[in-house]
Amino acid sequence: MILSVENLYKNFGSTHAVKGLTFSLGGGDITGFVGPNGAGKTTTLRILATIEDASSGKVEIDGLSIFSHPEAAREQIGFVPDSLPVHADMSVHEYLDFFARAYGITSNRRHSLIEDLEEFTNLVGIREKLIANLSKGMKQRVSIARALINDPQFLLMDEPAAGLDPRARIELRELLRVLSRQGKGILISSHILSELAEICNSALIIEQGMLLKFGSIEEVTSHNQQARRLILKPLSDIEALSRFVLLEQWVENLVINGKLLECDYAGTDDEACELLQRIIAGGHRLIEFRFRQQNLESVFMNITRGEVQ
Amino acid sequence: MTPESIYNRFDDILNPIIVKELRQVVRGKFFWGVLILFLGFQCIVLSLSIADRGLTSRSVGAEALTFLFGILFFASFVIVPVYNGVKFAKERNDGSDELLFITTITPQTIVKGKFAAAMVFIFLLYSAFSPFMAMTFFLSGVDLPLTFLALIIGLLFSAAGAMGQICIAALARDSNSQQFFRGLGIFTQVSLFFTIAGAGSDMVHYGTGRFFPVSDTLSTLFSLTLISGALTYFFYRASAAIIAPAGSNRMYQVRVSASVIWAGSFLLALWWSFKTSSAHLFMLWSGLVCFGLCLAIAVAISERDSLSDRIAREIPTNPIKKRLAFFFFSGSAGGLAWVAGMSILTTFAMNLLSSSALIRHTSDLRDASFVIFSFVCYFLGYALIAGVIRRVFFSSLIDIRNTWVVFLLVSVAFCILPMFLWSFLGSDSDILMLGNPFASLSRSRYLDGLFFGLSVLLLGLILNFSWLRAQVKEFASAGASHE
Repeated sequence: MILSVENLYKNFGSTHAVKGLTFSLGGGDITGFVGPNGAGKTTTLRILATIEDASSGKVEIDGLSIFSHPEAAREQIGFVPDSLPVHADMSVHEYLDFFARAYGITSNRRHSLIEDLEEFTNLVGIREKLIANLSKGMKQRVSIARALINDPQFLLMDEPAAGLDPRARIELRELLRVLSRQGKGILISSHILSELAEICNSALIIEQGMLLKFGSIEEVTSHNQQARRLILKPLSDIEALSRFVLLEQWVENLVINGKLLECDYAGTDDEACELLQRIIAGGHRLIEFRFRQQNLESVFMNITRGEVQ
Repeated sequence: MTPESIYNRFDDILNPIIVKELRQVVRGKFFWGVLILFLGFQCIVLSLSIADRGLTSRSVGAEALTFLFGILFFASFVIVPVYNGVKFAKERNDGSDELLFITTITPQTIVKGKFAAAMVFIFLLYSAFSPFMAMTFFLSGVDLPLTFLALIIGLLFSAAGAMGQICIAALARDSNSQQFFRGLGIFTQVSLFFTIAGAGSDMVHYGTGRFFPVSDTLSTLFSLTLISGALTYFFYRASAAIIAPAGSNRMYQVRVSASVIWAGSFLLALWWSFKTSSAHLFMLWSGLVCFGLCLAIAVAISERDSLSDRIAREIPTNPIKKRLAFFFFSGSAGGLAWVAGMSILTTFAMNLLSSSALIRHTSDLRDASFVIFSFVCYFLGYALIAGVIRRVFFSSLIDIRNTWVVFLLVSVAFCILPMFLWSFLGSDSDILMLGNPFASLSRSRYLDGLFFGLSVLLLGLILNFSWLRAQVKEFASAGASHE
C-alpha cells in the first residue's frame, strides 16, 4: 500500500500553511517529518488523518482519494496527536474499549484485541488506571494503542517523543521498529532529530509549508554536499602526512585536530580510494581513513532558516 | 442462543458514546453530588411544607408539589443539560471528538449518544424524585392527572433543553468560543427555566383552565409533544451538522428537517387557528418562522462558496433532483436560495389563510405576512452586502465561516447609524429609520419597509451576481463531471 501526497495546499485565510507538498509513504517505511515550529507539519498530518480539509491537491491511498472517500481512508490510517485529550474519569482499558466500539469491533473480537494491544504497548499493568493520572510516556503508549485498534496500514504520529523520558523514548523507538517490521508505514514528526535518524529510513524536511528535501536518510544527508569532511588518523608523524595530503587535488581546509587530520574533500569515492593508495605508497601508516557522515541535524540546520508563515 | 451471546449482541448495538458517558458519570462525583443534593432538597421541602401548614391545610399538597416540581425541573432542565453541554464543549476544545471522527463513528452517533446519556441521567433523577412527588397526592390540593401532565411536559422540555445545550456546546471551536458559548448556554437555559417554571407553577396553583380549556388538555399535550419533539430533532440535526467535517454535505439534513418542521408546525398552527377561530397562534408561528429564517441567513452566508469533493460526489444527475438539491445541499448560494424560497412559501401560506372566513383577525395576518417578507428581504440584502465586504476588504482577515459577524455588524450599522445621523442632523424625518427592519412593523409604513427591503436585496443581488452565478454554475456542472 502507498500513501501518496501530490501538490497539497492548505490555506487559513491569507496564511499558506502547506504549499505544494508532494511525497509518498510505503508500507514498512518510517519517515521522519522534520521542520521548524509552524512549518506546517501538524496541519499536514491532520489533513492526512482526514481531520482537516485541504485547499487543493491530492492525497491517495492506493489510488483512492482520502477527500472523496474519507471513510474508506480512515480504515487504513491511525493518528497519534501530540497530546492525548483529557478523558476525565476513564481508565486505560475503558478508553481502548470505547474506541474499539467506535470502530464497530464486535464484542467477541474486542476483548481479545484490547488485551493484545495492551500487551503489545506494555499497558497491562496500568489498564485500570485513570488516564488523567498517567504520565506523559504512558499516555503516549495509550495513544499508540488507540491508533492501532483498527489495524491501520499507516500510522501518523505528531511529536510522539516530546516530553518523554529516555526510557520511554527507547521503548517508543522499539515499538515503532516492530510496527515497521509488521509492514506499517509510519510518518513521524519530531524535533529530536538524532532519534529520528536512528529509526527512520527516510526523511521529509519542510519549512513554511514547502518541501525542502525528501528521500532516504542517506540521500537527504548526502545530497548537495559539495565537499565531504575527510578524517585521517596516522600512526605517527601527522605533520608529514599533512604536508603530503595538502598537495593532493580536491583537498581544502586542512587542519590538525589532536591526533586526527581533517580536511574537506571534493573528489569522488574512486578518487578517495586512489588518494588512500597514494598515501600508503608514500610510506604513511594510517589506522583511520573515513568521511564524517553529515547527520540529519546538520542537514536540517543547513537548509532551514527557522522561519514560520 | 446463550444469555452471553444475547448480552454480547445487545452490547454491540449500544452506542459507544452512551457506554463512555455512563461510565464517566458513574465514576464521577457530579452525578452522585446532584442526586444527593437534590434528594436532600426534596426531603427538606416536603418536611417544611408539612411542618408549616399541617396536613389539614387545603393547599399544602399543591404548594409542596410546586416546590418539588421546581427542584426536579431545575435539575433536569438546567443542571443536567448545562453539565452535559459544558462537558461536550470541553471535549470539542481539547480535540477528543476529532479523534472520534477518524473512527467509523458518525457525528449523528456522537450527538445521539450525548443526548441519550443526558436522558438516562434525567430519567434517573425522575425515578429518584417520583416517590416524593407521589407523596404529595396524599396531601390535599393535588390533582393527580395534573401532576402527570406537569411531569411529562417537564420531561419533554428537559429533552429539548438537553439537545439545545449540545447544539450550543457544539459551536465551541476554541477556548474563547468555549467560554462564550458556555455563558450563552447557561443564560439561555436559566432564562427558559424561569419562564417555563413560572407557567408550570401557575398551572399547578390555578389549574390548566387558565392556559387552555380543560377539554383541550389532550390536544395541548399532543401539541407540546410535537413542538418539543420537533425542537429536539432540529437541535439534533443542527448539532450533528456543526460537528461534521467541513467538507461534508452537512447542511442537507438540517435544511430537510427545517423544511419538514416548517410544514408540520404550519399544519399545527392551522389546526389551532381553526380550533380557536383566531389567527393569533398563526401569527406567533409566522414570527417564529421569521426568526428562524433570519438565523438561517446568518448560517447560509457563512457557508463555503465552493463545492468539496464529497458534496460534488453526492449531487444527483437527474435534472429535477439536481435543481432541488441546490436548495438543500451545503453551499452559501443554495442556503440563501432556500431561505428565499421558505419566506415566499410562508408569505403565500399566510395570504392564503387571510382569505379564510373561518377565523378572525385575518387582516392582521395579511399585514404580518408583508412584515415577515420585508424582514427576510432586509436581512438577505444585508447578508449579501456583508458577503461582498468580507470578500473585497477582509478576505485575508476573516474566514468565510465568520461572515456572520460581518453580517451582524452590517445589520447593526444599517439599523443604528441612520438613527445617530437623524439625531445629529436634528431631522424629524423618520425616513432615516427605514434601514431598521423593525420600522416595517409599523402598520402605516410597512409598504415603505417592504420597498426598502426589496431595494437592499436587489442591491445585494447585483453586487453578488458573479459570486452567485459562479456557485450555480459549479453546482450545475459538478454532478455530471463526478459521475
